[in-house]
Amino acid sequence: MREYILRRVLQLIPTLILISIVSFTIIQLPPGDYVTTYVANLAAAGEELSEEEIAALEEHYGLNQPGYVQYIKWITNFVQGDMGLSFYWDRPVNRLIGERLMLTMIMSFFTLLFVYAMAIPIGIYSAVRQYSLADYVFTFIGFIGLATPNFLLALIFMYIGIKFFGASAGGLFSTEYLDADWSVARVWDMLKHMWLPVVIVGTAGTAGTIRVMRATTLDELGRPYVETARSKGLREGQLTMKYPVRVALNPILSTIGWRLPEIVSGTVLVALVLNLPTTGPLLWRALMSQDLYLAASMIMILSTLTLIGTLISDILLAWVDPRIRYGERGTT
Amino acid sequence: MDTLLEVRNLQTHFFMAEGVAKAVDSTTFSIRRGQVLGVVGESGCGKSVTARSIMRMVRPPGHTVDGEILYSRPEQNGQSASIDLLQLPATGTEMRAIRGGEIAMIFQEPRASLSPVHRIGDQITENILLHQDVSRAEAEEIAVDMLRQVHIPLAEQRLDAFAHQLSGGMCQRVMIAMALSCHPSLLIADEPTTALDVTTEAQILELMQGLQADLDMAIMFITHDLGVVADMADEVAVMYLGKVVEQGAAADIFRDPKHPYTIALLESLPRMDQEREWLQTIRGVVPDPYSTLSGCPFHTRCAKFIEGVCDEIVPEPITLEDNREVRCLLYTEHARQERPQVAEDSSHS
Repeated sequence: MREYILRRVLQLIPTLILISIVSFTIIQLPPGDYVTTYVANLAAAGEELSEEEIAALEEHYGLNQPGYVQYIKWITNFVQGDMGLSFYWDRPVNRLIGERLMLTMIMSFFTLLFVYAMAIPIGIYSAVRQYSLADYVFTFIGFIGLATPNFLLALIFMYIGIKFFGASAGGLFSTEYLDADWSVARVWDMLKHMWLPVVIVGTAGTAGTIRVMRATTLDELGRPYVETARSKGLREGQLTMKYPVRVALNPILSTIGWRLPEIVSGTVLVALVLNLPTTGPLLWRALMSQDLYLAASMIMILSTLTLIGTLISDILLAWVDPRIRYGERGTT
Repeated sequence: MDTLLEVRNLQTHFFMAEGVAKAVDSTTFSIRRGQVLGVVGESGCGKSVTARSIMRMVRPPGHTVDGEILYSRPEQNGQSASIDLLQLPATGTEMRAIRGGEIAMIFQEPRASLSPVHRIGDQITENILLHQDVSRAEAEEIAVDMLRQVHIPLAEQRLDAFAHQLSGGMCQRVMIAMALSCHPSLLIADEPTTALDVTTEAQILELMQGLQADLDMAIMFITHDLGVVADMADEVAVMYLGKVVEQGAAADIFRDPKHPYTIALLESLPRMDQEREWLQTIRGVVPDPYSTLSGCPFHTRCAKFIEGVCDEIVPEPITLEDNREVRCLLYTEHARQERPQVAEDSSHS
């Protein structure tokens, strides 16, 4: 097992290098660069820049150098923890991302927790009581949750919040804590604001996970080993949790890895609507303005999260399912 | 010899959208203490559902709607008390104590019957801990001992194995060890060797015979293989469409089958002592369980069908000589009047 984990961690390195090259290249693919966008924007505002000024800008941002030089510069600094400068914000990427990334991760964590805490018990219940009234109700709610775009849900919640409670649903902090230093009170304030985006972002995931959990549990409930367990005289609830549910959790565990980046990046619209200080809107703006280092660094972080998530999934799977664990070693 | 389990008029029906499937339809038979009852019949005749009805493990849409399952339980004072399993709540404490503890079951697909994600040892000790007042360590000792009894080499190491690491035959041995770990008085074996190759089958059968003698338990051996029944069983019950059509001592039934269905089943077997060009088959197929046949359920396929009798009168079980129970109108006075015209035209070679 330890050997397996070590090998998987080592395999991450070439994958990450490849991803960094690809993401850097893709961001540069659209014609022009940050300076052209900047100049065009100025021109649209009626301000013309001279050739020299443009060249000076390119010089300033290092955009006059060939792509691979830019890449090597960026990646060597990146691995040392310096992600470069954001053109648009004219600030170090580190400082820009720092708090946002942490808030995003906290929110992702709570969203994951919310999704699984809701979906797994409901999925099991729906399967065990298939075609009961509750099953139909959950299925109905689930499909609605699946079909409603999250940002729309966010708008509805905001509308309700303002209309009936006189409170704005946006943001993660109250005004007085917006720029305050971290303290217990600020954390508490954040948690009070966080449940709403967590619920909104988590709805679709919950709905989907309920369906998966219900389907896999139903599949397992009819297996002979469940009948064996029943023939031993185990209590119904006990045997359901120990045998079919345990096996049915596999597909859920194996997709935990995909949920991480999904939640980090997939909440852009919701974050924009709700004015959340998370990474989503930042990435969106960086891509729009071809803010090279900011965009590349964020994509790099997202990719790393994806890979780590996948690794966690695989380790969890190997841990719960001996067939996978031993398959690795090639025993029969 | 006293009766361990008596099934009377058992009816287990499946309530489907297509209609009511009478999988077990007034089945009556009994199992005696320490004896092997072979239950035979074609696929879909209700053997497995009967077994699950006894275990009270029929799942919806199936329901046991009527009948009695009288289980005679040895009491402290040496007497035995008879309880009707159908009167107990299926998932109640008492039924769960019997299930697995006093009546155990093994299944057709040995590997699929073991959990893919739990160790063998865990699955065996679970059973022991449920029904016996022992510590985990003691339960493990019992488990190792049971694995030795079913001739699994390196029993201690096997506790840590998973089902996928064992062969099908080994898995069935594990299942047997698990089922017998609490010394049940009845083992229900639902086609335990059907999924195994013949060599392994022979080994498992031999093992079961040995253990049956050692542990003095009764076995309800469900199979469609008459050869296996001849080898294993003291008594035989032949099932057709949810009913036991003939029950009696195995030797008697093989020597002198009474019910036309039993006769047809035996004719369809290859024999070492007779030369045959073609094996006999039973014409037709088992009618679908939703159909409501009038008269004897076998009359559509019977070689001795009597028009106006078999398709009208439902045969009741009757007892013939040597304690044979047969459900056939041929042995009643209904047939006596009309018999002469029947036998010739239907007995094709």
